[in-house]
Amino acid sequence: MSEPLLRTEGLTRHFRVGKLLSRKTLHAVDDVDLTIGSGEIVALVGESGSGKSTIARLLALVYRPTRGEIWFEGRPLSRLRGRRSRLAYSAAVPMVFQDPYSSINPAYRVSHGIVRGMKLHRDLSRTERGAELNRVLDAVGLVPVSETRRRFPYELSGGQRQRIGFAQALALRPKLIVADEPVSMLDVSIRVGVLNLMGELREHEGVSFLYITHDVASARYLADRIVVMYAGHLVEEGPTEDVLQRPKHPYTQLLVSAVRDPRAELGMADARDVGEPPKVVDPKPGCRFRQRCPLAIARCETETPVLRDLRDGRRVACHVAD
Amino acid sequence: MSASSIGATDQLATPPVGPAPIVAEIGRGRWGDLWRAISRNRKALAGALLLLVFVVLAVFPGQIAPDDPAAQIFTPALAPSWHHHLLGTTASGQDILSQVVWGTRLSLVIALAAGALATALAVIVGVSAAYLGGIADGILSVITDVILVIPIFPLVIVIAAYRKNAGLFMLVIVLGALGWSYGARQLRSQTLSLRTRDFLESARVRGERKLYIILFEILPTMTSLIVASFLGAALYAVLTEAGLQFIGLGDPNSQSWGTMLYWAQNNEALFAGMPLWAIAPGVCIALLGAAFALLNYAFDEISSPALRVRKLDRRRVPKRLPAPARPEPMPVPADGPVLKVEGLRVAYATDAGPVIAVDDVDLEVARGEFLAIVGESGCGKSTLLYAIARLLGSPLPGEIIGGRVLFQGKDLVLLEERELRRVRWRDLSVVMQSAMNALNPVLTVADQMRDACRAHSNMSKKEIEERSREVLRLVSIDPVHLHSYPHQLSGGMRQRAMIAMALLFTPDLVIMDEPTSALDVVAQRSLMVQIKELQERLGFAVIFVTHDMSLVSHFSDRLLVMYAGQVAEMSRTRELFDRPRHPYSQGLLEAFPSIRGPKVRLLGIPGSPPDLAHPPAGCRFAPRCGHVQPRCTAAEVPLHSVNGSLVRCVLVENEA
Repeated sequence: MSEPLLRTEGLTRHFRVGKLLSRKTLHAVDDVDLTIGSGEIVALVGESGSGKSTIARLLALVYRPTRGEIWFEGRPLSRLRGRRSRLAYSAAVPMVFQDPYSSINPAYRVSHGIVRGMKLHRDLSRTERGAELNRVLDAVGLVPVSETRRRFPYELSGGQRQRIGFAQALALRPKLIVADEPVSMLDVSIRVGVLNLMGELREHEGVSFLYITHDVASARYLADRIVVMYAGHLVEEGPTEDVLQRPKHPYTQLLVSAVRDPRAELGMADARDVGEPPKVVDPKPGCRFRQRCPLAIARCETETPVLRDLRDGRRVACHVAD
Repeated sequence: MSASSIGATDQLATPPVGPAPIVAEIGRGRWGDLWRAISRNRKALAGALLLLVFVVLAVFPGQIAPDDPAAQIFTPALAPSWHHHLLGTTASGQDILSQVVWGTRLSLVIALAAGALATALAVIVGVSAAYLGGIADGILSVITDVILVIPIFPLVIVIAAYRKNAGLFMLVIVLGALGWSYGARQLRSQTLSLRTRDFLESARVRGERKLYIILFEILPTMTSLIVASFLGAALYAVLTEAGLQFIGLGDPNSQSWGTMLYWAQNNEALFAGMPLWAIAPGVCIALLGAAFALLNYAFDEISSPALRVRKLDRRRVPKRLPAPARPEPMPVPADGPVLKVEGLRVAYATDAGPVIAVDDVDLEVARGEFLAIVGESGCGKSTLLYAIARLLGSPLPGEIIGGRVLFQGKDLVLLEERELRRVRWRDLSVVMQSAMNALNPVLTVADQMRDACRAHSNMSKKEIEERSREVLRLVSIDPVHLHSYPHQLSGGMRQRAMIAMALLFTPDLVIMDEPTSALDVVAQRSLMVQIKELQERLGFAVIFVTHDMSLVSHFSDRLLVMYAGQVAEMSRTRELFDRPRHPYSQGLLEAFPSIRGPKVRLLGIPGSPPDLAHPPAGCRFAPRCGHVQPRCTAAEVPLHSVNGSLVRCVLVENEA
């Protein structure tokens, strides 16, 4: 099998919490194996606190892994030495943030972040930078370009600001864009526009995406493959359509059933679950979903399920599901 | 590649002005904006004008002063006269006016130099402490706090006495080195609040170095705060310098206001018929101090608009249009509406003049009905809710400028605050968007329920306790959580606790402002189911505001779609989902990807909502509408009644 664009192996990130005497360890991400192929859009789905944003920040080198390794184009990131090679990776894997209102510096024109990125990562002359600025603004649909580049962030709407975020990433000639909930703070009427933009950038620029979201329906709309996280663990993955139409893991089933479909009747019966994902502090072995799980058996109390392969490229971490 | 090859583009629309920003506007550190803010602020203008006068005096004393300040006339102590010595002379016959003019230079130089030094230190210490964090922050903060509690004036006296006549340079160094701590603390806390901002994370992810981030990403967003800190330090330096000179610890041969005071005092000027000798420099010190203080205050206001009070100019409010043949609001079931809103209008005062956020809204809520109000951010849906509950003021500073809100036979718009308190919570209660902000973090759930009960009833302690347990059980929270603090509850439980509090007095109407938007999908659904069940069991009516139409699709009886401050469509919920009539409703429905069925490419709605300070003529949705016709923009489009629905669109005119 050829090497994927990015692969993580046992990726783990813990945080120390609590005071000096009551030190505890918060397991934000535990043992995650994730692969993203070239030109692929992978959706990372889960509720808040499931560890999906921590994965984004691990990939963006904001955090160092507690354990495990990230391989990019076959090279392990732990061997990145020196500023130069770190910068090269940062340019290849930029990130787009959730909150368009806080992710652009309000003191500068919107072109600031785009131009800074080019100065840091690409050896271009002033005129080349200007041309490239126009190109990326045009590619994210912020036309007329000559008008946009003079604007300050507060002069743009949320959707337009989020497009600036993608333009910043695009100016680095990225291979993989990590998009952390890029549409969740936008108004419904403009979300689809940003989702479409990601699809188009993949098509025209060949960029891969890790699309992090809690919105399963938008994951279906955009992604080739879906990865479901619960409480720091990866619980199910596979081709989007397969997973969403026939979810195996009981958590995925709960998540899919909670998606609102105005066109369908509501099943009141399965809406009883009032649980919420646990904070994973100093966990004992066992499945982290077991308290909410309708299928839980004795084995779930003692043994942490690991991802096992099913047919058709699907994997699930559950003792019961088949 | 051209944009057209890429499909959906996002045309730049005019920026939304909208209601006044509620949070302190950090950043916007753009010189043009700053200049505009200053030129609009009366305090800033007065301060700048005063300062300008002193700067001119300091730069051109030779041209302005009538005499050489040191030249002595051997007829001592001349009284003021119009011909010569406008302010009289000193005991040794020097012209007071000339001395005052020449003295400006030293006061100003010391103020500016000490201010600049203090500000530079404040910026370096404050910003690096906050940005570096950890041990560096600990050490720098301790130093700042120590300097902050040192009484500077006595210290300066000691230093000045020890190194008498050490000169100006020493004075500037001491004033600067001790005057930075207050500014440093302010800048530190501002930087701390910036630290979590994504644009800094974005710069780090981009690979910027720490120094670059501090100098070019953080500092430019704090210009007004830095200027304010400079002005504060300068003000302090003026006063300290004058004080030192006055008690004779400066250089008695220097040319400054403080020195003048010193000599005036030594010659008992006030009693020797030369009062202006002391008064003139005193007034100058006060005026220069006032200039700095005014500017300082103005910059504080600019950096946090919450300090500024805007007044709504009712004369500039556009007149309500005569609605041609207003259709009757939708018929409501027999036992009469619990709430009736008629022609409600709400305006915000902005720098650009009044903005009508809610424009002529009519609605009725039947007893036990679930009415959902849906719209995008800035469409006026929250303003409408706050107006109905008469909660405008803070944080939404709007004002009701017309219309009636009839509840229990009373017009809430006309009620006094005292009368409102009898209605609110008992009969009409409100559930806010963020339970974490709406609940008091230092009080337990029980405390907060007790406070609410005491404020709105005279229940006994035991009754309150019992009722609190009862309402918690209603929302399926175990009553053991009664004595929990908000942060000990999960997000879903906090939101349910808020609903429990709203139900303390079995109200007739519960108003909910996006109560589920902070929750995850699974928790959202269980909360919605719970609200619906409670409503059916207890029979209260609900007005539910949300930006997400799919959330209420199975729960609301009727749906009101708002766009740009107006009702775009009001319909029975099922009807609206099956047959949306307004192009905006259609667009909203088509903006949701579906989890089932065939995958289709969605388009959303191009463009963004209009700037309400300058709403488009005619239909407000016209600029984004795919079915636009000439008559859409020709005149205001009224609501048409179609099959029991109300639709503001010319397309349904023939159906009506």
